Amino acid sequence: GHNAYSHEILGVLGELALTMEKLPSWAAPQPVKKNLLTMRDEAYIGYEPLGVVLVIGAWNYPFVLVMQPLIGAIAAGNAVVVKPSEVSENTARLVAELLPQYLDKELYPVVTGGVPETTELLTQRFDHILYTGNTAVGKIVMAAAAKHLTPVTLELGGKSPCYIDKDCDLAVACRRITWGKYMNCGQTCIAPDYILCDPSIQSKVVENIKATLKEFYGEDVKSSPDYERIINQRHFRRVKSLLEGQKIAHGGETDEASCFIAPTILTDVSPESKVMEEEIFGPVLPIVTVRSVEEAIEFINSREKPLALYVFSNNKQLIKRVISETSSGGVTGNDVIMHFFLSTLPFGGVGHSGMGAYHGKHSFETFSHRRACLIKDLKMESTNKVRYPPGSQKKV
Amino acid sequence: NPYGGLVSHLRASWLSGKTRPMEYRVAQLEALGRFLDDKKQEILEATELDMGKPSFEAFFSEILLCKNELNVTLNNLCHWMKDEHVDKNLVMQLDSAFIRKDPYGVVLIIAPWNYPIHLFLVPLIGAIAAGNCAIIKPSEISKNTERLIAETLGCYLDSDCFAVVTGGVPETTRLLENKFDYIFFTGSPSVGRIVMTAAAKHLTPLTLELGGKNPCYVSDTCDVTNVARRVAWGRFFNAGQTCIAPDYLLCTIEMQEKLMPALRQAITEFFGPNPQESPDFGRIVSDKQFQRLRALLGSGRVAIGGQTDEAERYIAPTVLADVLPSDPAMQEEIFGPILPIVVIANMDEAIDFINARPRPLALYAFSCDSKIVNQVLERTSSGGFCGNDTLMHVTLTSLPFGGIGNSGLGKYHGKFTFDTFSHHRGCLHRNMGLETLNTPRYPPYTQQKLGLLTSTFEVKRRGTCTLL
Repeated sequence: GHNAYSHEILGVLGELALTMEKLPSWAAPQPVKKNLLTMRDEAYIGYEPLGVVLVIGAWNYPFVLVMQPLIGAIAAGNAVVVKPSEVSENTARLVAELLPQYLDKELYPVVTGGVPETTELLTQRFDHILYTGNTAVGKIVMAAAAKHLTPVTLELGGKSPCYIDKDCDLAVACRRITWGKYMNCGQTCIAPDYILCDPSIQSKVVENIKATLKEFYGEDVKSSPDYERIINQRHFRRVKSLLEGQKIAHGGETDEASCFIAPTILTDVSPESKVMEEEIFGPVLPIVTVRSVEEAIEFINSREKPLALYVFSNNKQLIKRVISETSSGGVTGNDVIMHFFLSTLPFGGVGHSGMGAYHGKHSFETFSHRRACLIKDLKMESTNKVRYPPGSQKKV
Repeated sequence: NPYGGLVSHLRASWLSGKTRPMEYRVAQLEALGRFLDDKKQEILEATELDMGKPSFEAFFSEILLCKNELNVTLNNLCHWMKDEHVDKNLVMQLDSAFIRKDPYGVVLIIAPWNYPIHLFLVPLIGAIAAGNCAIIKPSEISKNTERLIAETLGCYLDSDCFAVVTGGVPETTRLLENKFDYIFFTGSPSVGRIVMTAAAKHLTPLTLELGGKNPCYVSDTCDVTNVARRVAWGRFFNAGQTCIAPDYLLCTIEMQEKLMPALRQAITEFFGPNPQESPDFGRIVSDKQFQRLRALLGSGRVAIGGQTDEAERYIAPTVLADVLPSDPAMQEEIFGPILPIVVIANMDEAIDFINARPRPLALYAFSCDSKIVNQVLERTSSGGFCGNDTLMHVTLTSLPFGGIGNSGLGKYHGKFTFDTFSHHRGCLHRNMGLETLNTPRYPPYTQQKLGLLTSTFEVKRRGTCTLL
């Protein structure tokens, strides 16, 4: 309900307004600094459409993850094939019905379907593909793109770590973390996946999160209108299996019929356990204890580069250090998720969490070709003589 | 995995953080500068042995242009490395929002044979500047230069962080099995596909600098002498073995007739009556390439040149007239000192001809009428464009150099190289206080909260926009 409006629609409206306002300046040719030889010439970078691009959406934020790329693609002057995720079938159907009523369906067709249809679609030649989804399928998309030398933007995922320093306002930190972790029932690519903290604050972290959960969802989470469900049974079973053998400090209740998994916290989680192997994408929050920020940094760096990284501390230097000594798609310090909402920041992954970025002007640039243009005068030939053969030491 | 150990070693160095401080990067870049200075003579000699590269050309492309890139980078590195602070929205006014330029890690640079120093060194400059470790794979076809690089580069760069791998196709294939954090490839589209497929297995981002047939349109209103000189220069530089050389000419039959004596004149001015004797004209790099090129001479009719000498791998500066789209010379990138002229009726036909073909790396248009130059520019697509000259757009480091479609993806030169080898990381550093401002986003959700959120987050459309 309200969640969907704020997460899916507000963002799109903002991006639309921004793009419409800025488009003339983004699309304008950009003159560049010239050197001695080109002083009298026109030298600039022209922004040109790539041609026909493909946008493949995901099911967790099914509207915004199709619309936001579409905005950038249209702004850059392309034709766009839109392929919403079949897993979020109601939204896919809605997009397929509504978009042609507002946009030229010859230029912006919507293709629906599942794996076979997407595979077939990917055999076609596109001028750019933007895919949002998981790492495994990301590899398939890139391999298909390689056949046509199609550039790609891959918005993937991973385990986004969240380090909580001893020196920090735990109540505030935990409230922000709770919000980001359990929104959309944990099915957010930039949700804090797991927590790293000193063992001495682990139980306080649990207490604070528990208190926040009560604030947010009331005594009976299942009856809160603001708590979502797992998208389908397959994912329900996947997330539920991650709880096996774990110390459940809070939550753990599940109901398969309604794909309900309660907001859950696991403590003293072993780095080798299943819940620490792949992206959780569910309302399960493992806490792994580390004894120092060095250990946290080493832990993070020994794993695949995540899409987002979070660090909470009153110590600015510590936050700067964690940022400098790690790599991730993006970072929010002292909060979670929020870097997604600033469109002047490029949003994208690195390593297994993706390649390329978008949002705001970055979307426009992703879907444009920056063409180098140098326009010289056909006269003024004497200045060229120095480069022509026959070569001589003097000319050199 | 024969290269697994090497890659692990470099990755360990990368994880130690030693390539990140600016001082380290500057030291390695300055060492590259000394490599170019100390080994200048050896570079001129090696490239001469490899493809008869005239020392004037070798100095220009392998030394001078490289030093330019080095100096632009050294002059600006401090500035490029800085966090780029971005405009903030209402909600984040008190936060710090910036783009951090992070190195990728261990990168792979694969270079071709035609400008064998330039095409590994300029990418390497950006890779080092951005804080990465790198493996350099020079081309085995320019074997003298390959040997020089393999034997001497290590004396200048930190061998913990930079390595040279030599070999041919089998070695490169094995090398590509490893995980790299970025791959920079210059070469042909067909090998580009292989590289990208290998990269996909590890989700490695990449830049592909490929090629194609670069069209050169000459309108009827132009200074024939100057056009002929500029086109001949671009075509015959490095005996035509240049990815951005004008590959073929498009003009009317009248212009073809006017151009021919002018081209003949330019060639004689440049290389004398017998180009085979000129020290300023190169040779073909290998027997295989020589034979491939010789076969193209049957296209159209030889109007200028056409002589060959297999022993020297010499092909004369050649112009073919009345070439048909179906002729062999029009089926592949020429990459040699042969300039076919395809006759068209008018500019529209030229543009249609160009657009019916894969997008080229470079596109050239010559006219005294700037409107014509602009029309060709606007109605076509290419990596880069130069009006009224050839090649020159890539010597301006403030312009991005790269292809589109079959001619490549990504770009470099100047700051673009640094950006290519950096991950642009969006960072938001928020205030731990002011928690009440966050209340509208938390459950339980209410209409009032939604109203508040809308008013603080919304970007309203201001008036109407007119695209100028």
